[in-house]
Amino acid sequence: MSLFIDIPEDDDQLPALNTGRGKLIWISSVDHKQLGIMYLWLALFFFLIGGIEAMIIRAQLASADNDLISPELYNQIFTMHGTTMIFLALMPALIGLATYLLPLMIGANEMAFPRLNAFSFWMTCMGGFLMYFSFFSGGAPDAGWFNYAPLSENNYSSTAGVDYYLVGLILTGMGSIGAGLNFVTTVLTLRSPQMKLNMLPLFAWMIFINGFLLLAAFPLLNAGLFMMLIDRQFDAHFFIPSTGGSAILWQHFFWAFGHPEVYILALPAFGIISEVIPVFSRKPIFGYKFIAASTVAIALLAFGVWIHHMFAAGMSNTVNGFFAASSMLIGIPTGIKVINWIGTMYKGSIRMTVSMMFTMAFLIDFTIGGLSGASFAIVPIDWQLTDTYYVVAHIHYVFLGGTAFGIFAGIFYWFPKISGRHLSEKLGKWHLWLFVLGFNMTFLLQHVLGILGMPRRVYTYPVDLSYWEVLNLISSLGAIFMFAGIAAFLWNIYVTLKKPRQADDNPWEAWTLEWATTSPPQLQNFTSLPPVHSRRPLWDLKHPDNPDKKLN
Amino acid sequence: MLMIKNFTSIFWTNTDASTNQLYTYFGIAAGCILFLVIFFTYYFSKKYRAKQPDELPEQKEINHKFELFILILAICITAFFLIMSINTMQQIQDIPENPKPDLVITGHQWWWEAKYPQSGVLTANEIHIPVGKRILLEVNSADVIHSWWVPALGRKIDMIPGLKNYIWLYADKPREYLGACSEFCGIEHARMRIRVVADTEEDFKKWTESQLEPVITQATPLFDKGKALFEQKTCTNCHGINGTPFSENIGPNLTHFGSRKRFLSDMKPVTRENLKEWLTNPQNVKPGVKMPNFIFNPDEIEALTEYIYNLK
Amino acid sequence: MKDKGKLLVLFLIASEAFFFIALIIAYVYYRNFTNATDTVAANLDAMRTGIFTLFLVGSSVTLIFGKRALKKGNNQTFKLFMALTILLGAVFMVGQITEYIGLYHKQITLNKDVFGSSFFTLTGFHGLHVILGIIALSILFGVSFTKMKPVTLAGIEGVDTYWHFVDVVWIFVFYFVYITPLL
Ligand code: HEA
Ligand code: HEA
Ligand code: HEC
Ligand code: CUA
Ligand SMILES: [Cu+2]
Repeated sequence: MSLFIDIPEDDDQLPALNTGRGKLIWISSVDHKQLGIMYLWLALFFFLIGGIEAMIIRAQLASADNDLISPELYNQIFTMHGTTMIFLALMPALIGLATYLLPLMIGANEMAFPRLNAFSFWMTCMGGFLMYFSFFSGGAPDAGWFNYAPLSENNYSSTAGVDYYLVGLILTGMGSIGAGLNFVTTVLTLRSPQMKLNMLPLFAWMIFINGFLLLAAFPLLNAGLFMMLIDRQFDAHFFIPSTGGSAILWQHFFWAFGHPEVYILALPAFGIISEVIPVFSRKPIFGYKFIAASTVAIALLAFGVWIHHMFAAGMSNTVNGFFAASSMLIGIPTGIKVINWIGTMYKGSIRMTVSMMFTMAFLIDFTIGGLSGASFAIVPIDWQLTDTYYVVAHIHYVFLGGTAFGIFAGIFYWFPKISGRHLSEKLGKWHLWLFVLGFNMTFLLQHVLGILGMPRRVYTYPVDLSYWEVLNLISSLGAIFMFAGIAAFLWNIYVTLKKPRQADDNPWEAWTLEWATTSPPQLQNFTSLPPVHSRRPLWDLKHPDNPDKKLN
Repeated sequence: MLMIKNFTSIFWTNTDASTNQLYTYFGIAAGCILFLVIFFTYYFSKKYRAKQPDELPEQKEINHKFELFILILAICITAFFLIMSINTMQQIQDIPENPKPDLVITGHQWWWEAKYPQSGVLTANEIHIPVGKRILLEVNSADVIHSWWVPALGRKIDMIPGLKNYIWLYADKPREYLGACSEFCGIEHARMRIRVVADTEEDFKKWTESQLEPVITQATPLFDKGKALFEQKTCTNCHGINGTPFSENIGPNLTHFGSRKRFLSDMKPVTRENLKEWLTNPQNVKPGVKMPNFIFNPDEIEALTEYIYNLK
Repeated sequence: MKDKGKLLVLFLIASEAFFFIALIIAYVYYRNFTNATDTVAANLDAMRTGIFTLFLVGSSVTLIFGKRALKKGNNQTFKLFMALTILLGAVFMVGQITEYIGLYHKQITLNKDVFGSSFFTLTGFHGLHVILGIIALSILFGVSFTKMKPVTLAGIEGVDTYWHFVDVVWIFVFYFVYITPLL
């Protein structure tokens, strides 16, 4: 039996790296690794912008009746903060990691459609910059990231900001659909011939499922965005109640997209966690099948819960009760995941790298976010707490404590593969502790603020409400720690990239195929592959005496 | 203890006991789950820390019984809370088939219009209700989506243009209740706060009667000058005053303005100084507000203030 | 791996289906869940559009025949059927454009009311897809005069699926916009 198999790949798709075009190669590249890296840079860039916007928000809210920035500007800034972080920071970061790693993990040399891949990236990129161009053309979008009508219609939002929002999101949305198409087809057609679907690494599995979510969710958003654009540009009446339209219909469209969207942002992070925990606990993932199946359950349920964002809109008890049930149900598959991750650590031999520590921070903080989500599913609680800072706390616990910690874990884990260099663990710990502590300091107390009655999206608040001021101040101070944490992260990237390449092919002794090639991989990822008989091909290779159970 | 009391007295007294009960139960359940997650994450990370770098544990994968146990437990917890919440929902939100509201609130950018269909009172921003009685509230909006939320009086409800929504309000003590608009509605969403005054049955009756009285026609020259200015400077295009031909409601109804304690959606106390400041330039006081700056001279301000302040 | 192009088109149209479902839902929502009266339906001629619908369905049929001919290696017949398909598609578009003009003369436009908005958005986006389909078919038609490369064949597979999809979408649109008001 030969140890390695050749992988079939039509290599005429690949662009030549040494064409002498210098840096221009990046612009014309269709290579999934280069595109993945560009996605990651784009995400980092917009994360910093979104983060600076967040710092402005916190500065404005640090004291009562503060007038650091005008109300108009505040509204533009929180709208752009939310939109940027979701569509231009977290999405590109996750899609970037997926674009980079998916072919490597399944033993392929490219995505199924490299040109489509490049198209997706540039659409996202252009959509993002277009949205930011609005700042120079009379005002950014200012109706919140979910852009409720009729506030976002011409009568109430007369600058071109919302138009930029609409066109920008349509563009990035098309990019995301392209990415979804590529993920799904790549997994279906380019897997190493021996790799069955039930042997996919969990990250690849979740990207695969995520592909379906992207394909189903974004068209709903695009339809809504087009309708609103037609409203604004051609005086149609879709969402304008005073001329016969329906304000609530926009909410249905947006959230029918919006809830799947939050899982689009969560699933890949779950995938990262599912890769990192086993590797640093030195044992296989606990309950692969449960994690994989619960992913599918989440994806399906995600389309049946959207009304939980509209519990206060005055729908009947029957409707609300139904969606309360589905929203609570979605906690079960997610809970299964959390428990399986912790179960993987049980009786392992854990290596405390920064990546692993971010994963543990994820477990705890995501659970807090998930539980506050579950409390919203209890309708009477939502009737009190919707649109307060309690929601802001929930958002950030799931997005930062969930997705962003997952991304950080993934970056520390895969950085050696992507760049050939190890990020500094020492700076990484600074980054981790500053960020995690600052994060909890900022957002934990926001639960209390919400219960005390502070509505979200307020540019200021009166002085005479006790505890509001001190809680907000603590929250703002926490943001400074986060700022410092991110600064440590940037510094870490900077120093690391100046170092020479020194990483091994498989520095963490991991088991999935991306570690079977050089760090960083050559333009052609693999010339040959180890045989794949189980979920951990590299383990089988290293421990022929104690291989995993054969699955094919 | 003191702190907790303070919390509740300032804002958060939930008169509706079943929601409070839900909070408590959920708090306990979530607290336990969270504790277990934190405990095991921390404990495992200490206990199973690798001693040597190349140590390899047993490659064990799964325990089906355990997964099943978790699944069933989670389903039980979920079912419990589902039943609880549906019960509570039906208690809170039992709106009759053909609702006859006691109070109709219309949200405007950024103020509240209040109508009492039973008595015919029409006022704005300072809202009175009788204590110890369930009040059926109808809400709607004149422009964008707002949301009515006075936590101590009941649930939150969105005010959606083109739709009518209903909830119950209940105040158990005669005092003032604070709330805020809870759906983002534009520039001054932050300043769209609510103050509800719960009166005893008697006081409420008195208040209603006083609201129904015709406006005072005090005959000081300054007052008359103010009145003339009010009509001549197009104020009446937006503001209505009962008992006069003017009934527009683009801005708050000013009939008994002088009897209110605070104005501009609970932003400022009603004093002559504040009123003057407001009339001098509304955009300075509440930037973005839908009332133009008229650029009056001080005499005119004096007269207008005299007039509006004395509308009692 | 050979048919990944077809797979792509399948997923793409699945995604597009969600887009059209959303647009159809808007139309149905305004008609059935608001108390506005449908001002457009009364001015539509279901009979006339029904006939043009037959042209579009016909184009799907000719495309099937065309593909069959191609599989048999009968290039001449294939080209004939391709031409026919494009022609039928174009006739459908002409029908839609004249319908628009007619409505315009009756003062029914995009900004008249929600039904105007909804009608023109829905049929307009569908028309856009038909036009895209016609362009794609025309390109393939043009290319089929040169030597048939594997890429062309894969292209035909994809465009074929897409064209049937556009056709099916129209049948739903036709049902919800033209037929249900008559029921
Ligand atoms: C990554 C993103 C993400 C994720 C994963 C979630 C997860 C969940 N969310 Fe959240 N949500 C958002 C992002 C996310 N949310 C955003 C952005 C908003 C606000 C949008 C806006 O208004 O701007 C929002 C708002 C939001 C609302 C509306 C609030 C409002 O505006 O009134 C609701 C209501 O039900 C809700 C519910 C839930 C539920 C039930 C989950 C569940 O999936 C959580 C499941 C997880 C757990 C429950 C924890 C782990 C489980 C266990 C340890 C097992 C045991 C637990 C039980 C049996 C209960 N979310
Ligand atoms: C998706 C992810 C995401 C992320 C990562 C964040 C990150 C942060 N968010 Fe945000 N947030 C949202 C998503 C996110 N947010 C959403 C969806 C909303 C709702 C919007 C809406 O209502 O429409 C929201 C709203 C929101 C609010 C409520 C606003 C309001 O309702 O009025 C607040 C207030 O505190 C806040 C704060 C923060 C803070 C302090 C961070 C911090 O964690 C940020 C940390 C990052 C940094 C501090 C960057 C550091 C930068 C540097 C080191 C720069 C170096 C300089 C150069 C290179 C030039 N966010
Ligand atoms: C274009 C419409 C418009 C005109 C004209 C107008 N107002 Fe107003 N006015 C408003 C609006 C809207 C508000 C509510 C502002 C808010 O609280 O957001 C208001 C609020 C007020 C208030 C405070 C009421 C309260 O209970 O909070 C007073 C007093 C007032 N206006 C007086 C005047 C006077 C005097 C004039 C004429 C010189 C005038 N207004 C002209 C729209 C107008
Ligand atoms: Cu009205 Cu917010
Ligand atoms: Cu949701």
